[in-house]
Amino acid sequence: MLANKTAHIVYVVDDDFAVCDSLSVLIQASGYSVKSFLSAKEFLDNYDNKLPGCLILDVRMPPMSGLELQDNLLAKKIEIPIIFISGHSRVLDSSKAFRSGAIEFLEKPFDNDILLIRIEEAIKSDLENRAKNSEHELIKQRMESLTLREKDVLIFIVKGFSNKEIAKMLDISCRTIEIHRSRVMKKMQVQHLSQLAIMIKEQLM
Amino acid sequence: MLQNTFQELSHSFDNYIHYYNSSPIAYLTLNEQGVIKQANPSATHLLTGSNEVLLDEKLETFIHSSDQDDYHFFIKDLLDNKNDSIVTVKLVNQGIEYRQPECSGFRLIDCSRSLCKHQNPLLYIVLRGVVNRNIKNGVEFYLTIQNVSESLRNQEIITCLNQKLEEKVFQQNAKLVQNNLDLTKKITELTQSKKQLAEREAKLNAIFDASMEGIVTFDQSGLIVSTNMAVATYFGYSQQELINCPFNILIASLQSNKPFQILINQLITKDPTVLINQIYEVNGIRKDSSTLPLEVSIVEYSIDGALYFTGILRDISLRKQQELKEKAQLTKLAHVARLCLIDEMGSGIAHEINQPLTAIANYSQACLRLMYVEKPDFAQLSDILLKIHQQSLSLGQIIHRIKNLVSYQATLRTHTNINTLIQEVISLCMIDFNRNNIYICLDLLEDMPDIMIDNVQIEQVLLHLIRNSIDALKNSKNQRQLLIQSCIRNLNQVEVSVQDNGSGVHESEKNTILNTFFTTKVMGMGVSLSICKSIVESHQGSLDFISKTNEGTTFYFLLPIETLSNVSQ
Repeated sequence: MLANKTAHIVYVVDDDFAVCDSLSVLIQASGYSVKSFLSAKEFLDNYDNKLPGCLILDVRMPPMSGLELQDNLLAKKIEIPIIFISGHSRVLDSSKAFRSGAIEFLEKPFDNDILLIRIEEAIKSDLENRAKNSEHELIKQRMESLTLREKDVLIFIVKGFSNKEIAKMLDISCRTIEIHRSRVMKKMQVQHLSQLAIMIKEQLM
Repeated sequence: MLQNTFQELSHSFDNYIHYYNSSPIAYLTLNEQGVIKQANPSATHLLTGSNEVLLDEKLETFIHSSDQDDYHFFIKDLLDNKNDSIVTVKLVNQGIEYRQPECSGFRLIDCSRSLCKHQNPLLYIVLRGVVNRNIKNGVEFYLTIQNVSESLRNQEIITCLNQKLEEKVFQQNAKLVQNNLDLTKKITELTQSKKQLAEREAKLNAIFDASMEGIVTFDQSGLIVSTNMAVATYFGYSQQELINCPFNILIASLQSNKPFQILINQLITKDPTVLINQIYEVNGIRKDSSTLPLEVSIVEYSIDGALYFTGILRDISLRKQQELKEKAQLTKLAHVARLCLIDEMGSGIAHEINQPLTAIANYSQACLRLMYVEKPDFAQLSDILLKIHQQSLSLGQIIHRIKNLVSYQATLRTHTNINTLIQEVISLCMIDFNRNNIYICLDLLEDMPDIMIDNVQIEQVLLHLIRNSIDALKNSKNQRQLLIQSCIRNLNQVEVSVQDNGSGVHESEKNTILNTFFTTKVMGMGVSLSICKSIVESHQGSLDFISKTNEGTTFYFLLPIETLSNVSQ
């Protein structure tokens, strides 16, 4: 279970007032903060990227459909997890939604427990994403503190070359490599070579 | 004595001379050679035209060349002692125009005969004579000359007139003969036409009796004068029974059919404004007092100033049955079309139902959660429960409407406000408007009078028209608009129009779009429209459209306001 649910915001976007309102009531009753909108545009105007959360989105809405909103968010690199709800499932719609990274595609009327479970999952995934994103940010900063030579050394280390081999390739003394290596380990704040390898691998992915 | 005798003789000679000279008869004395020796004044005048002396001239010189032979034969006859011989000769025209003073009152027009005095101015004379042989130097001829020109001419005139008369008589006669012929011919014709008339009458009588339609004639007091066999068969009376019965006994309670009652009253009271030749639908009544539906038309005619009316009655029970059948057929077909419509609208309707269902599920789940906290907020709970209530009601309405559309029901007409109907239909289509981004505009007349319609069918017409417009708008790049209007036309009709700003009906489809023969297999747009037309027409209304390319199409239908009594039959 998530702690401190109210800190997470569940956005509900559906052009049908009754659906929108009932979802808000339900989700609020489950302890989340809810922001509901009757159109995609309203959502875009009011969305705040800083707080973790998820989006419950109706597929068919005039004038901007849920799928269009999803594309719009992707284009803006806003990575909020989306749970689609739809009055009638169409394979085409759902497969497109999933390809673009939707968490779930629920057909109305749906089992609220599943919805709540999915909301929890979505928020968790958002939190993880955000954490990962912040870790990436950290590693990026550390890497930027390396000198050019240190970066070269780092790349060879991660690729598994020995100090001797690196010294030979870069045409510098083995001693100098050792100094660079200890500096890299220090700046990247890792104790073991394996930790460094994982860190760099994730960063490059 | 001698003296006396001589005196007498001289006296008689004087007398003779006197007579000779003053006689109106012309006398001539000729010698043997035909030379004139003596002529009295009459003769001189006759021959020369004047008093000139004509002695010692030959008589033959005065005679026309064509008559010379006759003259010489005459002289010869005289010499042969044929004293009684006479001759008629013409005189030579000696430059003296001989003119009759005037034709005695006649003028023979167009006379072609040679002797007519207008053509022929010659003188005709008759010569008579004797021979005296007691003269020493030969013989002498004593001739009398008579002018016969006049008499000849008169004769001629008479002949001429006779001829003319004859001609005229002949002509008259010919005319009479012709007239006679004509008359005979006419008589033949008359006989023939009389025969034809008789034939025709026989034929007409046969038709009259063999006619499927009842023909009944009644007089001004409404009493039946004659009927044909069909009337007797229709009503179960014998033809004899009906004569002199009031016409009304054949028509079931005239009160039930106002217009016809008025007609009969007007007929009998000789109202000049009476609408004759119109066809009336009435119920006939048989002898056994059962009824039959009839179509009646009445014609009027007068014989010798007395007015008669002939009613032609047609048994229309078969047609009525057919109409009922067709109505049932239409009802069935409309139902099938509705099912197809529901099928087409399926996803929209599912959405329509899912929305409130989803809301209800969410609300109730929320309630459950809110109930199990330490201090349940009852105000909030009741709020939510109220919302659940509202949602379930609206769901109920949707289901009801759809159920109506799907259900098969016989035509049932009720007083309906068309605006209410329009709004219900729109609520069913709202999802389609939203999905297709169509801006819907309503312009409904307030205080619309109720009309007597089959709600389900008219709702179906509206649905078809609206969906048709949605289809037309789907490909439109403009701001898609749909305008639905209701108003009153011609004081007694309700008009509903559905107007879109789509591309318009294609020119080639304009004529067929409302008249596509409908089948239940393919429910295309045209088919549904032709069903709409049939439905509206079965309500005594009309449906049509106006379309302009790239400007849009307006479908409109008119329904009568006052059809309450007629429709229920």
